Amino acid sequence: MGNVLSWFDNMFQKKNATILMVGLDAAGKTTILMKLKLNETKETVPTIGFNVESVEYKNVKFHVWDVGGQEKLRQLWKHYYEGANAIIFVIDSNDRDRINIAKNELDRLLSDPMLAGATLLVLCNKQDLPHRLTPHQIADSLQLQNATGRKWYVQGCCAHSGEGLFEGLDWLCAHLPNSS
Amino acid sequence: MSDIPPLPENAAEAKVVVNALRSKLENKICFDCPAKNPSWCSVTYGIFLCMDCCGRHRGMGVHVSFMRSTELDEWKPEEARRMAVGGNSAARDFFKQHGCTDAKNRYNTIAAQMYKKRLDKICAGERVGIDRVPSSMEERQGSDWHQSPNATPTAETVHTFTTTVNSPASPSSTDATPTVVAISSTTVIGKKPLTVGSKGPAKKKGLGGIAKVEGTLEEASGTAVPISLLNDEDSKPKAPAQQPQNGSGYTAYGAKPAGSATNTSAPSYNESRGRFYGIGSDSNQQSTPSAAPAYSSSTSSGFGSSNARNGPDYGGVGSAPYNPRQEADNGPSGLQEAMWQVSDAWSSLREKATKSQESIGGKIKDFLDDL
Repeated sequence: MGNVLSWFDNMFQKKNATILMVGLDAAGKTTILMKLKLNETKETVPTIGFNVESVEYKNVKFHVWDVGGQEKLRQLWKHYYEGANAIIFVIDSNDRDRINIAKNELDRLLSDPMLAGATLLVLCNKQDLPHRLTPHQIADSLQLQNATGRKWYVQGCCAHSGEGLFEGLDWLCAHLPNSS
Repeated sequence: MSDIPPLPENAAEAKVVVNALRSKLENKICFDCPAKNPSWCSVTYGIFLCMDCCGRHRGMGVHVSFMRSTELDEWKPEEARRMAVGGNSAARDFFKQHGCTDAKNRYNTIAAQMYKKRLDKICAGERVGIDRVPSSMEERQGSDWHQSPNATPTAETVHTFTTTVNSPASPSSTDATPTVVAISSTTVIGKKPLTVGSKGPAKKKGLGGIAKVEGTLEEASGTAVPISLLNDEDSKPKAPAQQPQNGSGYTAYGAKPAGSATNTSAPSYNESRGRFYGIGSDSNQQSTPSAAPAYSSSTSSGFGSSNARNGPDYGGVGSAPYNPRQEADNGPSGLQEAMWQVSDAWSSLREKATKSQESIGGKIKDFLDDL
């Protein structure tokens, strides 16, 4: 019966989730954050440091940390690992040259014990561009099949139009770790 | 080749090179705006930009302009060399000659593609077309638009020169490059035919002989930049990767082939079908050995079902554990929406009467415990 009650409670209580949004530079992290928060497409400048916003979607309040993706700044990602319930890894689908770098960064991220329980949402941004990689191809390049013991999802999106973003959040809502 | 800057040996040396370039006078001002001491680079064009302009360049996509930070990024030796080949003044001269002074729109012009290609070719140490011209040796001495004095007279040499006709300031600019005439013996470079015949008398000025080319170029620049040009730089190293996609990868999801795609046009409904989909795996519920097969099977089967659920445009290709569980637990998405609406109402109710809620909850709990 206690289960029923907690189910009931989960159903109607606003959940809180801390999201770490990372990815290579110029992948579109800040643009996605602005789109989620303000529903505006803004011209952004490179993020030196981080942005943090709270985004409420459905019954979850996401605290999204958007951390700069330049190579020097990637070393700072680890300071944001703690307490992250989910990772949003943003990929520039149009940047075929650097998909391997993205894979290495993602591997490094996923191998960290502090993120062992975190759900992974990969957003394949810039799907509106002609030379994009499809989410399928990106899932293959990232070799996510090997990421056992983790819930992951690859979602194509376009931050400018907002297409695909909320589908990704839908999935995230449904797959947040219970501890949140 | 001897006339291109040497390739730095490693990333550290590359960075040193870039920082040295950054301190050059020509690179002390942002290429697109008057900001001083720019610290960002567009490797594609070999130019230095301030942070704001960098943001704009990043927005155009890496196929137009690939940005690096002089401070926050590691540099590949090739990138550093490309910066050395380029530089703000070389690019500025080039764009000026082509009449592309609008900082915001010039990167979508043919001139920008040509400059990009020119850097490509110089960096590759390539001699294109003009190699056949024996007199090319003389010509390159006076070409002041070129940064390095011994630069290869590549096909772009011709391009630059011919397109100067487009700009109103062409007499002066041709004066500045008087010795590029040797090109006259080159006939066809790339797609632009050069008519040679009338060039004889124009040897010193070089303007008259090219009059015919103007039409070609204007025609070309009147239309949208062809996608093949826009992506030429990409396609060079990636040609093998792109080709198969036209055949298999794209069609599999109903997307249009890259060849017919225009860069800026919004994709039509049908064309964009299946682009914003996802692939997932709930590995928690899959044993390790079965993970890979489950992945492939779920993506193919999940695609159809999710399409039916979410409409044609953005189906979530959920893994088997995702969609079915959703539907089993919460029902189809319509019901889900209703549930969330109810939950919103519920939470507002909670806020209004927390205390009574708690007491009711306690009572319910007691009751349930009694049960």
